[in-house]
Amino acid sequence: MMGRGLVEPVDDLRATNPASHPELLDRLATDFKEHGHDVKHLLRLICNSRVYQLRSAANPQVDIDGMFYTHRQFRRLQAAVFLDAINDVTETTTSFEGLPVGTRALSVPDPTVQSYFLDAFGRSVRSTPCECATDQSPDLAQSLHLINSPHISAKISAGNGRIARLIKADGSDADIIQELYLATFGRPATDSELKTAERFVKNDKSRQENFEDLLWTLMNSTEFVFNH
Amino acid sequence: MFELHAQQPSRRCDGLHRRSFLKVGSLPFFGLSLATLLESRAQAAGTTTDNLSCILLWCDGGLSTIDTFDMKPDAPREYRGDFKPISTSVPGLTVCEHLPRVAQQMHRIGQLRTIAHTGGQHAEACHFMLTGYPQVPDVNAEPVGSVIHPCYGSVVSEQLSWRNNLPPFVQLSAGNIKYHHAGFLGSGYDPLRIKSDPNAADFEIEDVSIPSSVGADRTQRRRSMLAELDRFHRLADQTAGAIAERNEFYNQAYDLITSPAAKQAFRIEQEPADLRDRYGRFREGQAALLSRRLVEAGVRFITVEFNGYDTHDKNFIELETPLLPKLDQAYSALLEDLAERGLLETTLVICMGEFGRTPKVNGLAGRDHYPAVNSICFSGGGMKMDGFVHGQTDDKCSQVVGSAASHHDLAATIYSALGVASNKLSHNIDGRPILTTDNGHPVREMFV
Repeated sequence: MMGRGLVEPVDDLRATNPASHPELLDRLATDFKEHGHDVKHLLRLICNSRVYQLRSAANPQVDIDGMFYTHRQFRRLQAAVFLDAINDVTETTTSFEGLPVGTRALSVPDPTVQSYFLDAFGRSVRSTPCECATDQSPDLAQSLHLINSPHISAKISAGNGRIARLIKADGSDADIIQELYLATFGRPATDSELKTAERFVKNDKSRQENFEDLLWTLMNSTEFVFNH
Repeated sequence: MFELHAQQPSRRCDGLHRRSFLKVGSLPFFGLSLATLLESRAQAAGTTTDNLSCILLWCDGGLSTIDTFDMKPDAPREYRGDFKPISTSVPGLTVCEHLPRVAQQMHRIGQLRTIAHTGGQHAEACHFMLTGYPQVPDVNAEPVGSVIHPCYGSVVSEQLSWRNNLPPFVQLSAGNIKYHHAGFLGSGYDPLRIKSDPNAADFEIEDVSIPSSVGADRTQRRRSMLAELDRFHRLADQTAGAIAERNEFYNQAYDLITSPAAKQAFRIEQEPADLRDRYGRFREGQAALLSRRLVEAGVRFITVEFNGYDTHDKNFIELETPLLPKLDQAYSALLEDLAERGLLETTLVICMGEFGRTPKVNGLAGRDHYPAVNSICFSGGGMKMDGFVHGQTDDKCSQVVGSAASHHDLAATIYSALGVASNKLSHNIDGRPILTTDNGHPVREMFV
């Protein structure tokens, strides 16, 4: 949840790899026990904490790797979550071989199911009983895929996708922009964002293409790609 | 620990899936790597004399040197095995009968036989042989030590940076190669991993070409829209870590997408059919050909993986077909082609696996892991060729005669040939000072 475990890496619990905040770990463990090992309670407790709610902008010179929890760590969405989010935003689906249409990436049980996206963004190969086997480090292939992949591009411009539906409904520019912001970022556009976006979509190109480009932009934004 | 996973590209005995290992503590490394990344890019702008490249033919699983380059025909049968030596282009020097075309290129190869290490399992052996440093992985091949070292290609990337808008380090392999990544330097120096098969009719690099439905103009427009609308983007200067790193990758991605040199380099179909035939119409053959094109275009370090050398059983059957014929064809074609184009002087070609194999044939007609001997083939890049052999193994290929050199020396030799400093000081995120090699000394005898 925090982007970094009290014990890091999270599955490496041993005497020679102590927790960064042993008192906190003990306190959480005791509390967890006292509440009958209620995971929901634990999650609620963490989410309500001041530390969890810290903002992400901080002075990284002091605490680059977030070991002291002085600021919120940016974390890229996990591969499966990310793919599902892309599908939600574009109103499309990804079909996985041998699985029913509409299966969400998060529900794909078998790591051998072919998916370039999941491979590129790192998924657990489930060769060990540890979810930690998902690699979250960014790399060039991921950037290339988000920017330039024909698959993502096809999702954005899909005939039954969100953009196509919005264009068909023929709403105002501002309405469409607001819906795209809500879908990708879960918040309305600010005034200045709205103005900038309106400027982008007002030109002699096709309306469909303009909004495709806007949606691409939002989907490639840090705000969409990262938990923050 | 149990394994649930069945289908995997690796054919190694340990059955481990060769995924990328940069995950333990990867997040903390970002901050460091970006700073050094930017720094090295800035430095590279001033560099002038760097026309050197390297192609590593990696025989994954461990090439049996006693059956190929270091044969012992006079040893008892259970040692010398089934194969016979044949004469080569260098009088007095022999190689395995199943490497007839390589035999004709032996004047373009020099061998180093003094490198011994102690890594008896694949993962640690890969770390020894690909980074120069020891590593003790756990049963899942995950590193136990807190420092994962960068492999040669990543060090080259870090010290020498991009050239002609092409990534410095490319890996041509269906799967991942253990410890073949940037380790503590950060994923910015990982290889560009090309997993698609260059032998396939529809071969192309994932996502490098702009989709025709979008086109170059819109790609450019999207980029400028992103620059203006991404509010976190502007924080990047103050935000170390994932965001800054991602922005760097975005810039690299655009460099690659918009570079004509990159597109041209990957167009293997432009090679004449007879040359493609010469390299061999299979993945490794075409990958070797592609590596030559990448060298011409400006890539600094290319690894071509030859998979399946972990011959614990049926060693002789598998080597006879398909392993050695593929290596024979691709390796010999590469050396010949590089030489004909005058590229061999500036291109270091290395052929090796992570260890040799046991001198005595086992009950399954196989050979097991044996890190005490290896025979590493070097060509070009200022190394001695003409069948030169440095070092010697005993009459059963069971140990190095005389003093053995270490894995650190191997690393220093490779860095020295590529004009890379082997004593550069870096720090991992904990501030631990780490040298490119730990007191490695280039094996001077190997150089002209």
